[in-house]
Amino acid sequence: MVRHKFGWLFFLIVFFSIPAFGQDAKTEDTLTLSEVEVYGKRVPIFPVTPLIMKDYNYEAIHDLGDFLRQEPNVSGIRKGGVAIDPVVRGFKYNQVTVLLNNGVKIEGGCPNRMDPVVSHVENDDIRQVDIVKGPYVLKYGPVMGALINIQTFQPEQYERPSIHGKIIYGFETNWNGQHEHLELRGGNRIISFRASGGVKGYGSYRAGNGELFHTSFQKAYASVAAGVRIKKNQTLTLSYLYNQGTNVQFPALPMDERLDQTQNITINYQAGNLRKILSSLQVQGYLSPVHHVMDNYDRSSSQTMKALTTVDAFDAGGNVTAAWKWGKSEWMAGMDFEHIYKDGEKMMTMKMVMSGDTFTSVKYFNVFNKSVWNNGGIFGEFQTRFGDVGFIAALRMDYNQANSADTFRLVKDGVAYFDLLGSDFVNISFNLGAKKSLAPDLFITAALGMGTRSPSILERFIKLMPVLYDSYDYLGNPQLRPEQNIQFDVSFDYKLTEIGSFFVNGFFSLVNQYIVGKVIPPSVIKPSTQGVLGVKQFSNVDQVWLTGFECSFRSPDEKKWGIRATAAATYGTNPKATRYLITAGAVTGEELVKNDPLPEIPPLEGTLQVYYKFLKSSLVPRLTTRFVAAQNRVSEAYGEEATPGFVTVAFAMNYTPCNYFSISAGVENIFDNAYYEHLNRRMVGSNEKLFEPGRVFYVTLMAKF
Amino acid sequence: MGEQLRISLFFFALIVLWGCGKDGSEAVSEPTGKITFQVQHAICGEPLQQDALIYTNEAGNQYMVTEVQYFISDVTLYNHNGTKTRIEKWDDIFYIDEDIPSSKTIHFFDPVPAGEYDSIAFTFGIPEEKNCSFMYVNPPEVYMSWPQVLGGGYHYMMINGKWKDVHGLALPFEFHLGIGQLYHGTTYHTDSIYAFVQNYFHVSLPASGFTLNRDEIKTMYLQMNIESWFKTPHIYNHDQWGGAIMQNQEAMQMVKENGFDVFAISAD
Repeated sequence: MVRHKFGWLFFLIVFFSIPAFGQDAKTEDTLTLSEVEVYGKRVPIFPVTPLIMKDYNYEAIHDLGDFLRQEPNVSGIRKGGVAIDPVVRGFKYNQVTVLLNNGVKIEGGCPNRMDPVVSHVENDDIRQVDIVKGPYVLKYGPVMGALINIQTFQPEQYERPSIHGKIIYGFETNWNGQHEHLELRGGNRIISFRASGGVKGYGSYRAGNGELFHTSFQKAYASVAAGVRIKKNQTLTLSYLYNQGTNVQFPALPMDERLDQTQNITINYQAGNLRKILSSLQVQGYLSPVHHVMDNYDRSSSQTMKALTTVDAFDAGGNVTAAWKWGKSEWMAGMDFEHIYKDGEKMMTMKMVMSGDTFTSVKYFNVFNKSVWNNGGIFGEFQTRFGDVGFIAALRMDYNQANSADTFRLVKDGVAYFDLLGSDFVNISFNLGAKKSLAPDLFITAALGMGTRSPSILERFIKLMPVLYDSYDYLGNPQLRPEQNIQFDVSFDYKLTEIGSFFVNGFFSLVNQYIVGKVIPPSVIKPSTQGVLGVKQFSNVDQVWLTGFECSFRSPDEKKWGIRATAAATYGTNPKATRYLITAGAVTGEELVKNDPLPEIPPLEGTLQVYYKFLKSSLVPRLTTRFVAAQNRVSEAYGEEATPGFVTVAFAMNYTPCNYFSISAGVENIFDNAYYEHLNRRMVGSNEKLFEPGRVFYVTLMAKF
Repeated sequence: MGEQLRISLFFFALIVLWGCGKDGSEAVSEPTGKITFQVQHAICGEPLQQDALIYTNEAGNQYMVTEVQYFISDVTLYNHNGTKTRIEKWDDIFYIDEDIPSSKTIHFFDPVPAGEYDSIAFTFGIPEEKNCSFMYVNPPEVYMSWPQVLGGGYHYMMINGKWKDVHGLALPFEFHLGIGQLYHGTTYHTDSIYAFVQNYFHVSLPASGFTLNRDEIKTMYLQMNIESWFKTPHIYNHDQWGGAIMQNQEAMQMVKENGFDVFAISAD
């Protein structure tokens, strides 16, 4: 708890230092200040994909991770009905930075990632999701592979005292899923508020082949936020978020989530045009405690051994970002800090009946033991124009430190597997980008970035949990080194007024000190999870590389008819991978595999959507077809299996007869195909993959005032 | 290009190529081979017939065997040159189960230096420092768990079967070996346990010398002669000890002492 003080202290400093930034400024008409508006006039050089949630109101979105999978080169790891973990261009887990509202972070409690960050926020509370595919935004903290910035609805000031509300009800067949959402917001020129809440309840779904997958879940969530307009150009917002998952089944994990309680308190100060010096200023502080409980009580494995794991995670931090103009250049600088504390225990209970007597044995061990991870960073960004070339450069430096109260040590035959616990690093990240007009409405963008991330608290200190896809218990490595991505992107934008806009992007990533799992002999340590093959420890390997592309076409929004098409693929290679030879269920040797494909890389896929706007755009039917190629480029070293290709078709219709009511209905997977994504995990205890849901009819009703 | 420059470049290239081709630090690898155990269970020289009430032990008990499950660990090979090789680089504890054919073939991961070996030894059961509760969570090893209140860890051995008692009734026996307990008084109440006894023991295989050549995979046949558990030096009588002995250290001590000559080994 002593280490908690770090986080609280930082939070209090940020909170009480806010009035110091209160400055007089010129009156502006804009009542709502958000970062999009503050920085909206900047030349967008690095490709940022903004997903505006209201543009997708025709869909039945029950999970943000699932929703994000429709973006080219964004995939997801499915382990159950919800909490799909995003993968961007082959980068996953902590290689992808996920944050809320431009800087707020939540550390999931579950070592198996039952609660990735995207699962802590419900889609009805989200205004926009920005995806940056590469280390090209450094102002929010270290970013290595990609950034997903989830922006929730915030209180808005109104010229006249107002109050508004929204009610949403949705139903999905197949797994009989229901969700209800209620929202109230209002305010005047000075104060504002927003409160929302809802529940979701889904049963198990059937795949297209009729097989039932136990994926039921219940969620309840609420959020309240209040804002005050200190000056015309300054707002202060205080928000609280609560999200609870209960009895969430994960058939592809050894346990189910019994309870997950996530809270977040954020205080945010934003200002623009401060004394003609700063064009914008943001000060933000947050606290995010998570309580996570999971067990195997509903699994057959509990007949031989019951397992119950409880983890408490605490994330606190803040950031200060200022932007100003100097001549024709725009500058931005800031600093941020993040503190993570994690503590968790696994209880194993075994009942034995011997000679007529029943004996119970119980064992407790730490999966985390008061582990602490601190990261502080400073950054600077510079943007200007040289003639018709827009140019941007950013530099970031992080100091990272981690430690743990573990008493566990693992040293054998002179090899220290888990011994010295503390480690600290100074990491440098940078990026450079340029955008040039080659012809009217034809732009070329080139970007080079280096993103460095320190190993996560899990990669350093986890003890014997099956946290990755390959059915091994994982052991943390306190002496793991930072992972570094050097990435180059080149893209072309071309817009034809009558035809539409085209976008093509290619990228190459060289990842140094790539973090993978290496098998530890059972004579050193044995697994503690039923059904796993052994123990792996996180380790660095020299180098891997990833390359790929995205391309898209979008017809003009002004037209009644519309077409949207995308295609994307990623290829990843590990030049030197180790394959373990298994004979009669035991490892009997190892061999080098050259140029082994990286595991968990999604295949080539494309999407084609056509729509037509009837009744002045109030009725819009859409037909969406998704083509996914087979993934035969699989890792031999990791025993990955090929995935067949598939095609799915969905139909959706949105009808908005007036401003106060809308109805969306549709059917997903019209032809009830039985399929699974390459990244879907295997079912526990078998080689069978977790299938995607079969045909689902849905309807969503929304009323607002 | 001048003649001198061309000659200089030629020698420079030679030096570079020589430097690339030779790695002075490359270690000379020791010649090694590999060892595999094929495990057999027999009674009176014949392969075990499970579930057949056809055997008679030294005490005159007619019996049958339904299950044979046990651990061996720390397999050690004694070289003629005085060195020894312990099999432990990858795995050091091996589970053997008559009902699981794959468990009766043990492919040792460790490369073994080629040479002349005088003998082979191993620990029957699991040494105290390695016998930790919950270290196995998966079947079949997890079924060998030994209750924590009785000492914890895992059974060294479970031979289950039936014997005909003095009345001719076929009664089940659980011929189990694990950590023993010493009790105050005459009952086996767990509250009266005052000490634990480690019952694993060292087995030195007679006539187990062999030669291992470079890159050879040598298969050796390890045989457990089950009838030996019931004789030499003690005659074990099921009628005397009853069906279950895991809380009877006196009986387990007898089993432990009878185990020294249970195993034999032979090579191809």
